[in-house]
Amino acid sequence: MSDGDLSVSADRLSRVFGSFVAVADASFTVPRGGVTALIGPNGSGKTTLMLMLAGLLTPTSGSMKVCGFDPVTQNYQVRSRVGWMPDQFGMWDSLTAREALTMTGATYRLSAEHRALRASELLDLVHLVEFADQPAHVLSRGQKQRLGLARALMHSPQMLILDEPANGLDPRSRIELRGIVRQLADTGTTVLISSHVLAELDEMVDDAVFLSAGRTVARETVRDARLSRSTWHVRAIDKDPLVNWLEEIHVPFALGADSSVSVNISGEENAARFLRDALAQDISIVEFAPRGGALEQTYLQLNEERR
Amino acid sequence: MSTVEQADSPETTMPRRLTWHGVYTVAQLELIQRLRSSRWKIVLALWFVGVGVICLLITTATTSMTTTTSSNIVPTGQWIFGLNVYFILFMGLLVTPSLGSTAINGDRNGGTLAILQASLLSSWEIIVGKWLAGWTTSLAFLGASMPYIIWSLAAGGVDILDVVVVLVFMMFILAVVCAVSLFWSAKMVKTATSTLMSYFSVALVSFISLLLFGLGTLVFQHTVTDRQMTPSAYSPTTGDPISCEVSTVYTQDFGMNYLWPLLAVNPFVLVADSSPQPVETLAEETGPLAAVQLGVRYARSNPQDRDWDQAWCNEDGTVVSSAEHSARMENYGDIAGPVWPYGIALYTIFGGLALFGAERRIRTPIATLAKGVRIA
Repeated sequence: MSDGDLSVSADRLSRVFGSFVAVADASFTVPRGGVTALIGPNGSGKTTLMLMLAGLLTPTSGSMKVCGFDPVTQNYQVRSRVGWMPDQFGMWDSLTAREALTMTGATYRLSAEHRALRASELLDLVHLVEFADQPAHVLSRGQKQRLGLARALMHSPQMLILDEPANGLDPRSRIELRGIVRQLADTGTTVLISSHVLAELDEMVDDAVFLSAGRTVARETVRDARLSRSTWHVRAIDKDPLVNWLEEIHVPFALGADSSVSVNISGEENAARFLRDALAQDISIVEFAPRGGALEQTYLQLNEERR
Repeated sequence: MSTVEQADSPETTMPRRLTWHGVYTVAQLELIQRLRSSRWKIVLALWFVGVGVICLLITTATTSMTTTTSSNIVPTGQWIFGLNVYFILFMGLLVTPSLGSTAINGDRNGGTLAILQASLLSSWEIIVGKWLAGWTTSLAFLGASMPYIIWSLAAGGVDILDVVVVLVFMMFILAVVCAVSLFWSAKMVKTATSTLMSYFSVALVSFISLLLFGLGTLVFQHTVTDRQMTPSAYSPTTGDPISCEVSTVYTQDFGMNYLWPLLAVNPFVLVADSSPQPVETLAEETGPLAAVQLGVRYARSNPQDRDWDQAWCNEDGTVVSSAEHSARMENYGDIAGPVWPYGIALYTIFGGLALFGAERRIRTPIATLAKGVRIA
């Protein structure tokens, strides 16, 4: 990929706070457009990495380009192209949702007409039109989160950095958030998102960067992750014929609590063949699915490696 | 599309620039939030009533005092004005530190500072905007006390120019207090600590400076032995000296000529010394401000050299004429010049350093993060 197709290219980034190494050696790229996830356990350096990309923190060493500019030497250019939503952000409580957006527009030096127009547009996008003139302190957590997202979008950034945007949201708000993020990506905005909720990322992201103890340890497209899943969950109406058949063909399995079994099958091709064979044996299968999300297995494998 | 955009922006870095738009945006954001809290209106109303009651008491007390103790035509306006100004300044110094002392760390704890830092606002715009917002609020308190200051004009004896100058000085002092409070809020992680430091800074210049001056005079105090001509005999008719002789004179030197800068940093002294009175008439002025003004200028000129007896005698022991004596006394009356330029200069340096220091703390991208500080 050429540089023009990349929204982020980071090379051996590190960041040290005193004696604490937050980011040790992070090298990765984020392609232009689409949604890329930044995945890692708590304290793996996701937030620090995002702060550096947003131009708020200088790296101790290493180099990076964000939207074609260096956040350290060309800070202004980066900030004008990047929208950033921190994991714990505050709202100006006494301002209404609309005012919060127009004030943010002012901080990005947008003209007054543009601000008003953009605010209305975004309130519509994040489904807050009916709360437009309510002060922020009456908004629920999910609504505040959406308002925070709209605030990060005020200056129509080329790239959006979302740090744990789904944190503390109820399922409905999460689904809404997912819809908005997908919609943004489809209209050409690059989205870099970090989250703990891996199952949710499966359905939202195109690409994932794995971070462990401040290092980028793996990179995977969701498609690849799907292909390499190895544990499958199978449940039949009556478990005995299934268990007997598995023993007959010498496939190792683990019996689950709800009379389902877990089988190790490598690759989706083999999984499809397994299902065909099982059905040919007249076993009444009602559930057949990969165990865990696509990204979850990679994540867990990484954690195992660490031990 | 974006390549065109990049070509259109030849600037490589945007320095820490300062635009009115940015400053206005930050100040507006601060002031809207302050205005919307109902507490603020209650505090201002209480202030208006409270200051009013005290000023009324001052006025009544002053009027009754001057009418009962002396039959002289002493204009009460000066006393009313002086005491009211001091009380209002005292209250202003009490309220103002709290207006800026949580502006940065409060926002940081609330998670809204990083939002501004990530925007296209420069760190200078954030600092100056917050400073102006704090100052504007403190001026609202000063504005609410204006009726009581104008009131003293009605009592007579107060020059309108005095009022204007005193007000300008008070505004300036409050601006510096706001800047220093803002510095502490940027420097300290906890809002309680920054508020404490802001009040301590005000206490340092308002009260601790006086304490140090007082203690300093006691430490520096020593007796100076000097041989000089002093009157030895007096005329029975006029009471003036008729002959002089050499005698050993013991005088107390308090070292005030070294200690006076401690007074120059005091906001109460600064306000009193600001009065544009001609030096010749200073001694005739009455009222607390004029007294302080005279006092500080007297302290600045070395009081030890101010020996009235010498004004009667020549070096050779002859007695000077009564007219010559008066002329000499005039000269002795020449006290040191104003101390307020020094105070203003020091305050400007304090305020400037405070704003500069605060800006350094919120400059992005951050290279070294202070202990305990979280960006977001």
